[in-house]
Amino acid sequence: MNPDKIESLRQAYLNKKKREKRIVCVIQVLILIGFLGLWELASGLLWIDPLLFSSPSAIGQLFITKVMDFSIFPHIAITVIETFASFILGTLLGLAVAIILWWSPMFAKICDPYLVSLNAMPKIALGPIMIVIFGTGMASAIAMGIIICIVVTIIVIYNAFEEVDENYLKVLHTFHATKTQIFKEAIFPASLPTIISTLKVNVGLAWVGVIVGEFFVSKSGLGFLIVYSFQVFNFTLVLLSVLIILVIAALMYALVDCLEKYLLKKLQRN
Amino acid sequence: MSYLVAENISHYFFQEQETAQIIDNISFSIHKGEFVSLLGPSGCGKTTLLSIIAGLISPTEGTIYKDNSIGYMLQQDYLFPWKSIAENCALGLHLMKTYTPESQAEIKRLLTEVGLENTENMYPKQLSGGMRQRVALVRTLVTDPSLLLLDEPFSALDYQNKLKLEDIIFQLLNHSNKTSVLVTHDIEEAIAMSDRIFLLCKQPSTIKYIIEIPQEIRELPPLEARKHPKFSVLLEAIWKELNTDEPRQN
Repeated sequence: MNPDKIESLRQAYLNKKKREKRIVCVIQVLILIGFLGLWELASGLLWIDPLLFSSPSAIGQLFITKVMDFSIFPHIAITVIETFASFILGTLLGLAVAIILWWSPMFAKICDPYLVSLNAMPKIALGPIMIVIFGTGMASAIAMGIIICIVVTIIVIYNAFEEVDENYLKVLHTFHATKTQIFKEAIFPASLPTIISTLKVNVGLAWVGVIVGEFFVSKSGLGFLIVYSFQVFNFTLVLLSVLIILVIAALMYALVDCLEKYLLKKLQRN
Repeated sequence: MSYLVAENISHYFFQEQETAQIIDNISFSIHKGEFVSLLGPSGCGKTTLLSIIAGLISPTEGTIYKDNSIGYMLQQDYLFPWKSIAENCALGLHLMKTYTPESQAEIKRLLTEVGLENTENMYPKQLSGGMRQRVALVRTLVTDPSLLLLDEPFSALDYQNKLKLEDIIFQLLNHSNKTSVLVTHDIEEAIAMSDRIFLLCKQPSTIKYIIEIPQEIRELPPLEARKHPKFSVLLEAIWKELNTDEPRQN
């Protein structure tokens, strides 16, 4: 086939891709506008009770007020700090426990039924216990987030450790490698992609833990704001808090997603 | 002078349902500089025997007398994909803490010798299977083992790459005075590479015959050896031997 024809076919293919992408994007925006418009309309025409379901314009106005008097920022900051803390601590502690389990197969066998039960259990049920142990401040919310992340992290990373091809270990054994060397040379680098992918799962789980933790007792944070405004019957504030959580959680997820892609790309280049 | 001695080696695998005897009372001695093949059908316990020789498994019964400096090559390269070729080659040296400033030059020299110059900074997935297995050979040889244990290192390669690697190993070992034990189920390969062949029978494994390879074939490189008139005679004899594995009952 002559090169010009190939080039024009290629252009056609690229154009088709581009058009498809544009259509998807336009429909996505239309859905958002349609949803907000319908909501506003339904609220204005009293199809739904504006006291309970508020309206986008009321939420927007409240948002501007809260931004102008800076009263929303401490809540956002506290929740974000709590989420980051429980996400990072949950992942690191989970990794540490997974290393201990790998180190001692006997210990891993002993822990197995406990891990399985803890994994099956809805961790949120431990909320009151967390308050008793960690008090009513940030510590409780962080602990809640950690508990939700850590069990899955332990199980996923430990399984990755166990699945490393035995022949790599055999190579190391023929060079009289110590257990530390085996971990450093084979187990850890081979499991790194799995460890990185747990980050993404843990971001979502940490949010669940932190918001629930704040529901229980906190005096600040977005979770607290939801419960508080519910109690004073300010549903506009409830919905505003929910929307803020939605946006920040999505941003955080996108951030970790970028981090994961970057790290995996760096690994694969090798 | 015996260099590697096995005395009454027996090995069992214990499972909940049954106990399997893998190796039954094997004794042998191998001289310094000798190349010996353990030839037998698949699943006859050859690899287990090699792991016992390497000290990776302790036998249920019996003793191995050997020098501690071993090099072990597996069926596949098992290069670490996240390490460069040079880093893979230096793995053993780093683990045994014998890496010196000269090691880098030695790795470069060995890589050139196996036909892989200028690959130090590449990564395993950039090389073909045959090339990777040659890197694995360098990784094994750079620690300068006095005993080389080869666990079917040619079996995963295509015929051409197999002959090439056989030739490289033959040339590298030729003047080195290293002792080698090769595990294989390939009769041709065993004849072409070895000084002696230990013919193993099915489980539980024992040494059925010891075959001395004639001097004329030993001296030839593997590809040339295959063309020698005595080669096919030996091949046929061993083939028959392997096929009459079960002792006749009458």
